[in-house]
Parts: sequence; structure tokens; C-alpha cells
Amino acid sequence: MSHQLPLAVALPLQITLDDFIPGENRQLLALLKQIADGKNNETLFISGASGSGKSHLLMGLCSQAEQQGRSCAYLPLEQLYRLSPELLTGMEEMDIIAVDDVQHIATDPGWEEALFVLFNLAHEQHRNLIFSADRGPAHLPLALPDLRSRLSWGGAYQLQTLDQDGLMELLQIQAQNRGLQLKPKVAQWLLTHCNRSPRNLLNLLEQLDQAALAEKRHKLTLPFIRSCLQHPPCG
Amino acid sequence: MEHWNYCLARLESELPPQQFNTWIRPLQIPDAQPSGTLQLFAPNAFVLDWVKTHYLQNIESYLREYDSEATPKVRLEIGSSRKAPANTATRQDQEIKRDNKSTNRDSKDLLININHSFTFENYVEGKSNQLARAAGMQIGESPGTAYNPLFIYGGTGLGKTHLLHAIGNLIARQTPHYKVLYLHSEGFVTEMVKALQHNTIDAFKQRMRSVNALLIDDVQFFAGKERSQEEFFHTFNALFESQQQIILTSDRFPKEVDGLEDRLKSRFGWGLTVAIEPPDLETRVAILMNKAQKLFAVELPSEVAFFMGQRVRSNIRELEGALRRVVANAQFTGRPITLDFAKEALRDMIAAQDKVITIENIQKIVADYYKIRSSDMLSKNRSRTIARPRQIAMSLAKELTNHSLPEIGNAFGGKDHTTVLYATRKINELKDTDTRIAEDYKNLLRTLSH
Repeated sequence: MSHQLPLAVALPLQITLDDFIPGENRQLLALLKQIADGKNNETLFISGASGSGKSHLLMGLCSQAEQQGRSCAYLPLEQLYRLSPELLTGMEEMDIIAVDDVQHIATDPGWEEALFVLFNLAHEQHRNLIFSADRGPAHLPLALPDLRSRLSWGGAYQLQTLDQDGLMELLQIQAQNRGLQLKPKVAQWLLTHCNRSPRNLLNLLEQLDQAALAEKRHKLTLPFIRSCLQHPPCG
Repeated sequence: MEHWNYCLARLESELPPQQFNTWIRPLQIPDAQPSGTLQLFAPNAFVLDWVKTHYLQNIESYLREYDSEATPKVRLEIGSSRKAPANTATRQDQEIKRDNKSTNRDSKDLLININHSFTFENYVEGKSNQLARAAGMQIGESPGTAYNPLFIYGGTGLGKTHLLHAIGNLIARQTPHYKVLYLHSEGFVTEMVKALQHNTIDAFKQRMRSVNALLIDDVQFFAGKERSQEEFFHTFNALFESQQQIILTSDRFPKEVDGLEDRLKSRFGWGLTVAIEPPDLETRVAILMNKAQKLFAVELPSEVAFFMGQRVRSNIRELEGALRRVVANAQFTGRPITLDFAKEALRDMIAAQDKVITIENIQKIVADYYKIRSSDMLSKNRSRTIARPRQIAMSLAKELTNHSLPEIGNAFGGKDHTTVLYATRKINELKDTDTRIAEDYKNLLRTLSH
């Protein structure tokens, strides 16, 4: 059988707060929506495991805020720390400053100091500061106590992981968005055999989507999934 | 405007969301565009260069796509649509303007960077800050004559900055013609570096030396910055000789600040040096009730304030963070702030402080709980006293982490995923029939998740 080559066109992945499945994070989600709409000037610190949806929340926040005419900077430190802390200069002019994965710059004096300065300038000008990390400020290996105390200033929220039902919903919605059929039993199989972090599940669906496109199929059956995910194993 | 919106839509669909959000979103366009040009502001030189190198071509091609007849020329500059683009000639003025804007300052431009909401009226006094507060009030009443310099030191988040601003505000009230400047030491460094770059160092010197009171926060950040120290040394001397007030803060005693020149250290100790200690319980309680009132117009019941004050001891910022969390929970749920409510909210907050749960820590905590060795978790030992705790740990790993069964099996000394599946089923079954196991499981779950 000839395989159709999948086009290198990704889904128009607009990440919004509305398609975040809240689970037990309803309060946090409501707060972020208020912040996006300029109705709340809280500083927030969101902690949660890698792949659990922190970046989605921060990017969704920026996207919604921009629709309200507010300026935003999204700063994923996992990528940016390899560049220069100079890129934080002037960011305090933005209405919303979302700093993702703070753990990556911990112990780097240049970055810690730059983030500290940004915090002070932004705070003086009443900007919204939102931070995320894989753990709370008290446990980040920061060298600068002044930065730690500032990160502890706002409300701290731990991103609660989705339960089984939440993950099922996530898989179903995302499969539907890609025009794929995923029976509950098959979704269940994925949740038992694969790493259940939302990021991994979305990556798997993306992989399955590509494979399905190549075979011109819409139904994700168990044998199909097994054959796709054998190499490499699913997360 | 429409052409830029078109560009944005194209970029958003072409670029990975992370790249779009990081590099494209912060670009701003001014309301008034010069004709035939698309002017874009980047927040700093780094972003500007990055966009130029990586995205300018795309931007230009989308602009052509939108209108091939009248394609505007892209002009990237550093700046923000909040203000005119900063250029070298007006940089210094820009800085001063920005200072003013950031603090709602009064019309006479005499109070620079002073935050009006930090006053002595809302500075809660306790044993820990009594002396510093008294000295600050005295200086506020008669600047330049009492103690010079005043050096306030203490840990982060204990209220040094609040006290500085309070003194500044009091000076403004008592001697309205005085020019007062607050600067974080990093701000001093940044302004000086810019002045050097733009050849305006004389204007910078003049600005620093023309004040009647100079308030410099966190002088420990001068450490290792020799050029800044030298400049600050001269500023200090000029102000000191003309009997203008200098107030400094630091996280430690002047002599103990590493990386500062000795001549600065000794000058810092010429006047009065006072410490701010961490607040005691009563002061923490008073601070909480005061902040609840001031920030949220909430009357915090005193038993709630006592409970929170007992739990959060490190510094005032953390105390405020805890208060924010409790108030946010109350607003979201519509429930009144009672002692039980606060306990629950703080538990969430303390959980948010915790490390993320890993299989390793589950193994360790379960091993400790059953008083067996952590290495037993990875062993093949099948005796009940070892195997049961191991099954419980596997089951907890399934419940509390995102790891797949094969990953969990692997972390337990390379066991098969069916072993993990069997363990989780077995423990679920035992939880219903064996109260000991049910109790143990509950205890472990509590230890791990809070």
C-alpha cells in the first residue's frame, strides 16, 4: 500500500485558556481569566510537574490578554536561559509578564539578578507578573534570597493533575479536534500503558495523527495504536 | 494596522506557539504610523536582533502577500508604544519620565520614585523594628541633621523598603521643598551604565548630587561593580559634605557586605546603623490584620491571623502571599474566612510550595513508614514484610504520578508492567478488606500530598 506523505503543516495550534480542562484547577483558571481581562493585578506563582499544563496556561493567558488589547511577554526560561539575561531588559513595559519554568535559571547569578530587577521594575509599575516552576519558590535552589522572597509574595498555586475522567476528556477533545475517532476503551488503554502527563498524551496523539494521515484512516484502533507506538515505546 | 494584523495571524499559524508568544507577541506598534512604513517596537536590543535575524524575512513576505502594490517598509526599533522610542539624545529625560510615571508622583518633580502607599501610618511597629522606625521618623522630621547616613539592615522581606519610602514620604510632608530620590542600587547601576553609553555621565552626576535626600535600597548589589562603587563613593561624599540626607539599606551589617570597597564600608558606618529583625508572632499577627484591611478591606478574625502568623514565619512577603491565597479562596468559594477555612487554604498553599512527587520519594517515604530499607523497594525479595510495602508504593506511584506502568515497573528494579498492574489491583482489593492496609495507605497518601 502506498503511504501518503503527511504534509508538514501543523495544526493551527492557538493555545487558549478556554480549551484548558480545569479539573480541580477551576479557581486558578478563573483567576488567570480575570488577569487576562485586566480585572485582577495579582502576582501568581504556579507550580506543577513538567508536562502538566503550566505553559498552556501562561500562553493561553497571553493570547486572551492580547485580545483585550493588553501587551504581553511570554518568557519560557527552558529555552531562553541559553541566550542572554539581557533579553529581560525593558520587559517591564508589558502589561503582563509570564515567566515559564523558573527552575531553569536557579543558581545562575546573572539570570537571577536580571529576573530580580525585572520583578522590582514591573512591580513598581503595577504590572501583572505570573511565574511557573516545577516546584514552589521555597524549594527552588535560588542563590538570591531576595528573588525567593519576591516570588513568594503573590498567591502560590499548585497545578492539580487531572484525574482519570479529566484525562479521558482531554484525549477525546483532542482526538476530535484532529478528526480522529478514539473509543473510550482505546483511550483507557493509552492511559494505562503510557505516561499520563498531558504533554505526553498530546504528543502521542500528534504522532498517531501523522500515522493515521499517512494511512488515510480516522479510527484509532488498538492494533493500529500498538503498531504505531511500539517504536519508540509510548513515553 | 490591518497589514500587521494579517502578519500576526500568519505568524501565529506558522510558528510554534512558544516562539510566537516569546518573540512576536512583545512587539508593539505605535498608534501613529509614518506613511509607507510599518514601525515596530521591541522591548530591548536582544529581542530586536533576534526578530531581525529570525523573523524579519517572514514578516516582509507576509506584508507583500497582503498588499504587493503598497508594501510598507518594516522599521524595527527599541521602545514601547507606551512612550516615544528611546533615542540617545532624550534617553536621560526618558528615564526621569519613567521614574515619575511609575510612582504617581506629585507635580513638582521633587519626590522621585517614592511610593505613596508606603507610610509610617501603615508600618506596623514591633520589637523587631522599633529602633529603625524611631530613627526613620526622626530623620523624616528633620532630614540631614539627625543621623547621616542612616544604615538599615536586615533579611529580605522584613520591611526595609517600606521604611525607606515611609521616610521619603515624611520628608516630603515636613520639608516640601526637599528633593527626594529613591533608587534600588541596581537602578543606580543601570542608570549609570546608560549614562556612560550615551555620554551623559555629567548629567547623571548632576542628577544624583542635586537631591536633598538620597535613598538607596539593597546596597549589597553594588558588590563587585567597581565603576558603580566609585561613582557612588563620589556621590556619597558630595551629599555628605553638603549635609544632605543619605539613607541606605542592606541585607547585612556594613562591614559584612562582601565585594564592597573598604572606603565605602567605613563611610556607611559613619552615622547610625540599625537592624530590622524578623517580626515576632504578635507583630506578624498585627501585620496580617493590617494588610487584610488595607489590601482587601477584609476584617481578618484574630484567631485566623494567629494561626497564619504561627505557620508562616520567614518574612513579611511570604505572610502577604499566604494572606492573598486565603482571601482569593474566600472570594472564589464565597465562604467566610474561619479558622477551618484558613487551615484548608494554607494547606493548598503549602502544598504548592512542595516539591513535585516523584517515584523516588514515594519509595523513600513508604520505606521509612514501614521501617525497611529503600533498597528493598528495588529488590526481588518476596517476603510479605517487604513485598506488601513495595506493592503499596507501586500503587501510590500509579495514583500520584503520571508515569506509565512500564515506567513504574522499571523504577522498582526493572519489574514488568504486569507486576505493577497486579500490585495496584491487589492493594485496591486489600483497602476494602484489610483496615490496617486502608489506614496505612491513607496515612501515606496524606504524607505525600501535603
